[in-house]
Order: sequence, then C-alpha cells, then structure tokens
Amino acid sequence: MRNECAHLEEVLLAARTGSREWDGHLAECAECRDAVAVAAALEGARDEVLAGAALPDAGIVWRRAQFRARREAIQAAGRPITVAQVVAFAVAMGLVGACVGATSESFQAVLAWVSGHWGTAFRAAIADHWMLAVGAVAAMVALPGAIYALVTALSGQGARR
Amino acid sequence: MLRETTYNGLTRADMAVDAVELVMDEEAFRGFYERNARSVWAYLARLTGDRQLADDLLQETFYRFLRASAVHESDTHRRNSLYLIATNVARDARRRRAVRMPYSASAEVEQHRVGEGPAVSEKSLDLTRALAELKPRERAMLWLAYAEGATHEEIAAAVGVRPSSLKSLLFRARRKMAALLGGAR
Ligand SMILES: [Zn+2]
Repeated sequence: MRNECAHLEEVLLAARTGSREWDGHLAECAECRDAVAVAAALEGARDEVLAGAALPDAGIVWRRAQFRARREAIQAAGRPITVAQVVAFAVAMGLVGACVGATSESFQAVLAWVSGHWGTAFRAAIADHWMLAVGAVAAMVALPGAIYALVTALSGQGARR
Repeated sequence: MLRETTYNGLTRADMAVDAVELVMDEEAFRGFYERNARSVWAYLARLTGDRQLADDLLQETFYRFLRASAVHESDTHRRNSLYLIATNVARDARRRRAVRMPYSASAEVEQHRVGEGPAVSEKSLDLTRALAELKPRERAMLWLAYAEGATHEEIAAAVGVRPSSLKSLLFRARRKMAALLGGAR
C-alpha cells in the first residue's frame, strides 16, 4: 500500500477556501495537483445534477415497496411443490406400496399365482432384457414427477406474466 | 397451482403476506429517505449517466434496502449499506443494457443540449466526458469522495472494497481523472 502525500487534506482545504498558501507545494506535488483538479471538477456537481430533479415522495416509495414485498411473498408462498417435495412424495408412495405388498393376503396370493404360472418365463425375459426392465421401472417412477414439474413450471410462467 | 389450506383456513400465501416485514416502519423510513434520497439519486444519475434510469434505480435501491434483513448499528452504517446497494443496482443496470447503451457522455451532453436536463456549464460537460472514461468503480469512488465528501471508510463500504486498499485505488482513479480533465481543458 502506498502512502499518500501527508499534506493532501490541508491542500484540499486551502483550495476550497481559495487560499494560495500551498501554491509552492502544488508546483512540486503531482498528487496534490491531481486531487485539487478532481475536487474542483466534482465540487458542486451534486447540486448541479440535482437541479430540476423531482424525486418521488417517501410515501410513494414506501407504498410501492410494501406492495412489491407482498406480491413477492404471495408468489413465493404460492409457488408449487419443489423438487424435494416431489421426491418425498415418490418415497412415500413407494413405502405405501411396500407395506401393502408385504401385508395384504390377497396381494400375496395374486403374486404367488403370477409367479407360479408366469414366473419362469418372466425371469427369462428379465435376464434377456434387464436394461429394458430397469428403464421401464425408472420411467414409471420418474415420469409422473417429470410431468408434474413441467406443468408447475408452465403454470409458474403463466403466473409471472 | 397448489394452494393448500394449512392452518385455520389460511393458505400458506396468506400467512406469508402477514409475515412480510420490512427493515423499518413507515415513519422511520420517511426520515431515512428524506436524509438520503437526493444524494443517492445524484449518485445513481452520475453512475449511470441517465436521469430517468436513476428514478427507477432509486426505487429499486430503497426496496432492496428495506427487504434486506441486515441489522445496522447506526445511521452511518445504514447509509453505507444503502450506497453499497445503489452501487450494485447501478452495476446490474449497466450489465443489462451494456450492449444496447453503455455509459455515454455524448448521450448526457445531448440531453442537456436538447433541453431535457437543466442548463449546465462547460465545466460540467468536461466532467461528464471525463467520468465517462472511468471504470464504474473509479467513478463511484471519486463521486463519493469529492461530490459527497464521504470518508475513506464510507467509500470502502459503499463500493465493497477493503478499507486498506482504498487509498491506492483512489489515488489511481484520481490520477486518471486529472489526466482526463487536463485533456479536456
Ligand atoms: Zn502533496
């Protein structure tokens, strides 16, 4: 870090009051000369920019902020289910399915009948086309979620318009 | 769209509306706005070179300030954080319109000539041209230092740099602008 000229503040103050006390220093110190030139250019610039500017009343700015905050809160709260909620829903449905499968007698009976009659052929098909089977299961799990995400994204776009 | 009922017949949206909180109440806001709005507007107008855009950005700046959940120790801290927001808001606006309309001295000069803005001196036009040549951060630092009379700590907070780096950044910006002003004379 560099050190600025030790007289800078005094020189600027003198320049502001029209004093010529530091003229000798200014002739030798480029840093102070730059600062005086920049300060002279910017001094009064704020008032000049503000001349003729009509700023909105504080009450208007406040009410607009309130209105926008409420609108954004409504949008945020009404925003449909997030990805996390979709995953939670899928997991819950899987658990329900597993419980029904494990406990329901009629379901077990149907399963036994299917595996008795078709089990051999089914197992052979799975062995030959296991990638297809994995894909089908994945699609069954993912498709409802994907459709839901698409629909909610579209309705979200509609709401923002 | 899901609008499920959650509690006592209220939807989640209703509950969120009740929960909207701004960082201060209306009366405190009025005082804060009266003290700072003109300076912040002038700052935005000079950073962007566009008086109409400054109107919109002023609203945006105060809105972001009100929505921020920052706790401020003093009015000075509140003011510094307002300027930091204004700096970012102006930067965002500049990025959005970077291709369409960069900060342009000629646009501002033309605006004055055709009578849209107030009458300005040659000195002010030189200043506008010089500011246009600076980087946005240099423009912000110099404006705060010499048009607003802000302290180094305030400037560092407003433009988001370390206070220890400010002196050398300010030195370089000042030297560059002095050279530009020298060229304009
Ligand atoms: Zn010096």
